[in-house]
Amino acid sequence: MTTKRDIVLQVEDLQTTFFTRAGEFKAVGGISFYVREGETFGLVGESACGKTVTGLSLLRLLPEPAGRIVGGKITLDGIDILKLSKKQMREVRGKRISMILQDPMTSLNPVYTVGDQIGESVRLHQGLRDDMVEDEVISALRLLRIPAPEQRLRDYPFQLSGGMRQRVVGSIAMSCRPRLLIADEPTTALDATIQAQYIALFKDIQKQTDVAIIFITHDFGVVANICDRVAVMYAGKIVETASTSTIFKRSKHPYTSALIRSVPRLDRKDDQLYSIEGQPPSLLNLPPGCRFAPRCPDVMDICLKEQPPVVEISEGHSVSCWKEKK
Amino acid sequence: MTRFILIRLVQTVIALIGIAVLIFVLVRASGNPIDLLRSATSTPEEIENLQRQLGLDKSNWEQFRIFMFGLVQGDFGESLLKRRPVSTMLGEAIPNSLKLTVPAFVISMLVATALGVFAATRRDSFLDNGVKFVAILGQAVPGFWLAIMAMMLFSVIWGILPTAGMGGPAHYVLPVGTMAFFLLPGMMRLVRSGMLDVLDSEYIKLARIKGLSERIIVWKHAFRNAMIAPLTTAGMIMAGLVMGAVITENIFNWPGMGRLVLEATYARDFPVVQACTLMIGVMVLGMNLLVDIAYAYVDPQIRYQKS
Repeated sequence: MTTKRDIVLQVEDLQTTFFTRAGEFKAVGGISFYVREGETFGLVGESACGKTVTGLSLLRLLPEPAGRIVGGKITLDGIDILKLSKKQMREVRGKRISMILQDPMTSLNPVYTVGDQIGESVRLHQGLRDDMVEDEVISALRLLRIPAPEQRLRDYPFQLSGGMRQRVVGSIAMSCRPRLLIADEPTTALDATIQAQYIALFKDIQKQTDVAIIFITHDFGVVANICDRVAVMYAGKIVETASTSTIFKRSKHPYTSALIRSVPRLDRKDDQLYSIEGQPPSLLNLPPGCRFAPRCPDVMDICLKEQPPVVEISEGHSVSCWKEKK
Repeated sequence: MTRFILIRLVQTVIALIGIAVLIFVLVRASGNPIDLLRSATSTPEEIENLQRQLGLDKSNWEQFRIFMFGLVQGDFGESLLKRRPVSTMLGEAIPNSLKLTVPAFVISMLVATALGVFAATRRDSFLDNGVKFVAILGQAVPGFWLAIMAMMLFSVIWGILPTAGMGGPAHYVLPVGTMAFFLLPGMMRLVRSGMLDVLDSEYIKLARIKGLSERIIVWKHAFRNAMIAPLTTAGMIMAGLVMGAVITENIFNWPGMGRLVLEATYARDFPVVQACTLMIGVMVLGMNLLVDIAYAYVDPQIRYQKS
């Protein structure tokens, strides 16, 4: 990328906690990042590291009453989202920020037609008359390259294949041309070939619409395919942020390196897949120091006592590790 | 869709023939009505005359043939006890029963739906706990006991409602209320649990992501899906309605089908029992047919499979 585009979303020190009977789950423990127009930003990490909770926090759709954003600031196109009223927030959802969920088999309502489910968003956010709604629905289906959209809009979800359903979910998300799209592992439930098609499709849609995409995934293969920049999350914290090529070639955080090493490779003959020893810490009872310290091969004394600061080691590449602080 | 309805209609007719045969055999297995009709001093000739008059001297096959032929022509015969055409008696009793069952059904379904949905959307709130308590209480307390208690409280102790019988609007309160209470708890629990399942689903999450209001999410997206499970058990609810009618009408001395069928059973009034049972069968099967059609309407997947 040569010119710097406008920043669509800026997240500063976001903290999300779940208040349960067992205690406070600090699902997101203060993370900061930004996403530019037309850019795909990857949020990578293993299950339960806080990726999805981050996505839901951006939409303020945490499961109530347990989940709450307890600190930080989220700015979308200069608007502080956390200060909006509930009604104003509903106008943001679906119109300015959209989200694609993981499983296309369950994320569409089984009793309404495709056209109805897309048209609902269009009608709500664009205030169009019924005859114009259908045109918008067809154009949304076209954007996702769904064949014969005039017929498809009368179909029910059960009449479509998984890949086609995920395109419909994409049509719903893109129907009001949002500024930001959160894609929460949208390809995990799809076949490998369909997966590649879907990713190619989104690259194309991004070129047409300039939408900023946050791509949540645990799959570094997918990251390499679609993301411009990546943040690696571990136990509710971002440990490293960099451009995709930097992450693959010059990652600094031991966790990032370990994750990349554990991706199966076709060009090497490995007897056994690499895996990281141990378990992520419980979010109920976090260690005082670096959250990765108990599993880290390069652990030092200070790592166990104090949390490492975020250090920008080169432009656009920041790491949260004591090794880099020295 | 029409094919589906036609198939169901044929099935309904077959089921009705089955009911007719079964009830014909069952009433005769209960004993001879002459034993109840004759007086202690009747001579053998008198008994024989009575049997001939009532057509009970004919063989079972002959009686069955007469019953079925009459049935096809819409003739249910004559009551052994009252010596009146059964169709006239049914013509009096059925509207009276409908005056109880229809309002009871409508009220209980509306209340069950409203409370079930509100309880589910406010999970673990005061209202939800109240609904759960009433549901468990309602299913544990026998309906006849509740009816008698209500009668004692409202009619005997407070004297604000009539005890029994048919009359002005006040006469409807207790029987309709009792009957509605038969149906309410089960339906309410089904709606509540159906809503809870659906509200937890991914498509509800997607509806929220779209920015829809909570009202549209609950009543458009969740409600229609949540109704699929309660509808499937609606057949059993219809059976509960019949049972409720028999108990309620007898407690409140209401001149409907429920009382007619019970009196006729005690008197071994064969034609009346047969006709009533068949009518109840027609109603239950008819309601089930309506439920199936409603089911196909709610769930497009069923609509497409059947056509």
